Amino acid sequence: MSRGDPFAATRWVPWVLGALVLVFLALPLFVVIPTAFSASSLLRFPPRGWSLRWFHEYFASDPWMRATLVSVKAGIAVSLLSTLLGLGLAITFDRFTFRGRNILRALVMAPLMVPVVIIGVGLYVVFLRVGLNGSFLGLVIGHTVVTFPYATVVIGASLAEVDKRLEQAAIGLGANPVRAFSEVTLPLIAPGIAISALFGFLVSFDEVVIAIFVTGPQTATLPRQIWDGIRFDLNPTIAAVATLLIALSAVVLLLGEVLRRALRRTGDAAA
Amino acid sequence: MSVTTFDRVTIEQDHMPDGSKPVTANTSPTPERSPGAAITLSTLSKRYGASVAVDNVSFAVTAGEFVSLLGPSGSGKTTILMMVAGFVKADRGNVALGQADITRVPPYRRNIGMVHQSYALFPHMTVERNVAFPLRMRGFSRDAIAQRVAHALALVQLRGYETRLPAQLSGGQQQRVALARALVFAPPLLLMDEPLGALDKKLRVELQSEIKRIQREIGSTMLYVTHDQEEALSMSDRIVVMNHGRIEQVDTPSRMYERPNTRFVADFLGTSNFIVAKVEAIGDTVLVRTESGLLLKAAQGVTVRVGDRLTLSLRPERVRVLAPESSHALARGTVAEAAFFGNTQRYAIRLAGGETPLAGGETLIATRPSLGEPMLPPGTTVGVGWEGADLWIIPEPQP
Amino acid sequence: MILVRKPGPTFRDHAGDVREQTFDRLLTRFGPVALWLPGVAFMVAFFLLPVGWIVAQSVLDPGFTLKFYERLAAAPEYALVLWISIKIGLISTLFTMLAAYPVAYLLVIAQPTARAIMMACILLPFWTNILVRCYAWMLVLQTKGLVNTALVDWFGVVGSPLPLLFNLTGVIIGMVHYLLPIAILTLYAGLKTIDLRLVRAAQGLGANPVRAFLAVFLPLSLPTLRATTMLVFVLSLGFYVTPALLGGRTEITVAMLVSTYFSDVLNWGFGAALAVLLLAVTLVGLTIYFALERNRTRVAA
Repeated sequence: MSRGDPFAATRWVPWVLGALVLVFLALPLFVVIPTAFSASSLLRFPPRGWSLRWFHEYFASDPWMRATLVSVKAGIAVSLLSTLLGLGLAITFDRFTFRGRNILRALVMAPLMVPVVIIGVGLYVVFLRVGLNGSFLGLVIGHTVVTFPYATVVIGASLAEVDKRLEQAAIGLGANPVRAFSEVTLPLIAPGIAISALFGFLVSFDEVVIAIFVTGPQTATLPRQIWDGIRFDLNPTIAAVATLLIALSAVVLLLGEVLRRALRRTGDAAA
Repeated sequence: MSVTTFDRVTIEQDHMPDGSKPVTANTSPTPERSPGAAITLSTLSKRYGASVAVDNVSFAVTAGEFVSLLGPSGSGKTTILMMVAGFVKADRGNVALGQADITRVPPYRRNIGMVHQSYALFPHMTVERNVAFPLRMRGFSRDAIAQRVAHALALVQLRGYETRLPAQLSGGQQQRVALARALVFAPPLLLMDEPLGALDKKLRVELQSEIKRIQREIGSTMLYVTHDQEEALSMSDRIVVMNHGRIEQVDTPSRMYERPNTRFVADFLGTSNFIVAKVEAIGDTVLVRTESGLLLKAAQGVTVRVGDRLTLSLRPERVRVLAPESSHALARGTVAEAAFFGNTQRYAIRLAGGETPLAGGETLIATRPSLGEPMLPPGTTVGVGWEGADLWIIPEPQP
Repeated sequence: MILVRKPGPTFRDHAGDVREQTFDRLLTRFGPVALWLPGVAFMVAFFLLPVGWIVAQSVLDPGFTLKFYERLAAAPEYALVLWISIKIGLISTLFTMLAAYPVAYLLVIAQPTARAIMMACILLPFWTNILVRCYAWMLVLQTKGLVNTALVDWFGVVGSPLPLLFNLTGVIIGMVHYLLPIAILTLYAGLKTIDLRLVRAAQGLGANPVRAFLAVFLPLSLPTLRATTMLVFVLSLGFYVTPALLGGRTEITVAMLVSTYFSDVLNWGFGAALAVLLLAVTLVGLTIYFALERNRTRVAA
């Protein structure tokens, strides 16, 4: 049956299309990186000459460093807060059945569906009333609103993997429900919690819209700083910052993958 | 036989004067004895929606006794166990441990050891930490924990496995760790929910005798749920047979086997032939006449009146296969099926002539030890006979 | 320690002492509440309240009034802005879905290694800061950027640089770039459930690969396709950063307008009305999406 396959060519079609799309997705990021290393302040591609001066500019600049520090501190705070809130809700969804369950779930997912502008503007108005505008606390709160739904989902997913009978056995053996959870379930969902904390940090670190409305000069985050800078000039310092941000995303993704593998392993053991 | 035992060495009150938990340590070198507690279940009932899981169940277990809850799936036995453990709240009724009514007590305060069907070993803890878990929850000192864990592992013959993880153990080993974990804190009561279901036959039998030995050694009361009647018969001091949420019979294995109270019990424990007959006369023996006209003697012990319509049970091993012309033969028939089981032979015999006296079956089942005898081929004409005392009247009321 | 030798059962009193009983009671009564209350309270205070406040703002001045909505309906500029938002949304969605489908299809049929590489290419942009992505496109699309340099200097296809930035083209490119990973991942999640054996069966029955795809895979993928398209469109309506950075003066979305009215013009009432409009359209779109999703899972079951 050695009939030539007239459709051999068509099999390549999706692959070619796919490759084009993937190049489209990844390309811009790989334009940023060389630009960050270019020697001149003119943004041409390919850059002429190489230098680290934009990175020096970034690290030497007070506003940039202050903004970075704010973002880091806020990111950690948001990551902790959203993980805690998400943990409580995830346990609730996992263990209890109650009438308003679907409504609650929709409510928790809502911040991810509603246009961020509206949340930003709403928080701006509310914070003005209570004096939280421009405050660090306001920033943390604002970011937590959009990160903790994600935490709920991720922790919920890892909770679902754990055999409920393990906790039941622990209770039968004399552990009160709190201890049974902390000794048995918590270690088993630890990777899931770590993932939600990690990505909570990243989302907060990258968040721009809410930051625009909720931060003041004292609490400007790194994205806020970029936003202010980017609208008025395309200074290559921004390219340096951007490169660092891309590196951060890559690191977080790798860590997340490692944790996901760990999660699958404990999931297999616990199931 | 009197054994001087040190009960769990403990202080009179639950807490030291300064409010901390008591440090308990086992200073006795002899095997741990945890004097069992008596259990009393009164009028326990539970329903889920429209279906009744447990229907007005009451029975008592004496201290140190091994009682099996036996029945098909859905009979309510696991629900009862769960109520004793405290994970299911009864709609009605009480559970008492010794003198204390524990119906309202949360499961983590009941001081009961439980082994689940799925073992439920904590996958992220070593064998040692798994077994030590209940001791840690109760505030035992590090030394006491180490000592007791070692002792418990020795009891289940898993010395040397302390640092293994559950995933590295075989099914039988996991089961033994679960057992060690359940008894390491010397509970007065042990609950087991079909713990051997996942294991193969040989391992099951081996673990059955081990569990029995351990229970006797430590003296805890045992409540054991199973659907395997052989398991229940071989291990229990008494059996509680359940069906559709109700107790069918509570008795020792041998009494229950020889004198089943209901048709269900007769059929569930081993196999039985059932004969329908009417009481004809009552004298030193009870005489019954079957519908086909056979006049048979039945065992004494159940109160009947003349004219009562009865079901009688006849165990296959009591049916003797005889030559058709034998004077001991109560009836004649032909072999319909013959099966060889190694040490026993089983025959299904179709009785000759007229209506069969048997209820719900065309053939009379007879078994006998092989003892080197050749099998009787199907078609052979035989006689069947049995002692009057082998025909047991089932006291269940007839419709 | 006191060694006590007792003749009978010596288990602890089962109910525990008073302290333990109180703990048990508190745990049963307040345990569950302590779990969900913080999260729910947070949501109510910092999500429902702000959004509700905005809705309230749109009809208060300070008494109840509809004048903001009237102005919204009366002036044609706002209808224009709405139309622009929808137009941008539709075009972005179209290109996004066209590009996403082949990639999602590849993810389904690819080997694990290839799939992992593709996932990396998709996830890295997905988790990269939106400002970085916009900035990257600004670099690429500017007059001296990669694309124009390639077209003019390298390949000589055009004589002078094309205007790709600060106009509709730039906005569309930026939005498609942002929406693609979401579309691909959502589409992939749905396409994954299609039983490939059906396609193979069709080929076994004589259909060539193209026909097998068109006759079996494509129809089965339609519910997912519909749902994802709806989701992408809804998301595209709310865009703020991308049109602001990559668009020109004519590319103004409702989201951008809302922001302007709150931070620059300080007409909160009117800004709120715009926000409510955006919210309403989003909610309608989401309702349709969820209905499509429910239908899809019901059909697939």
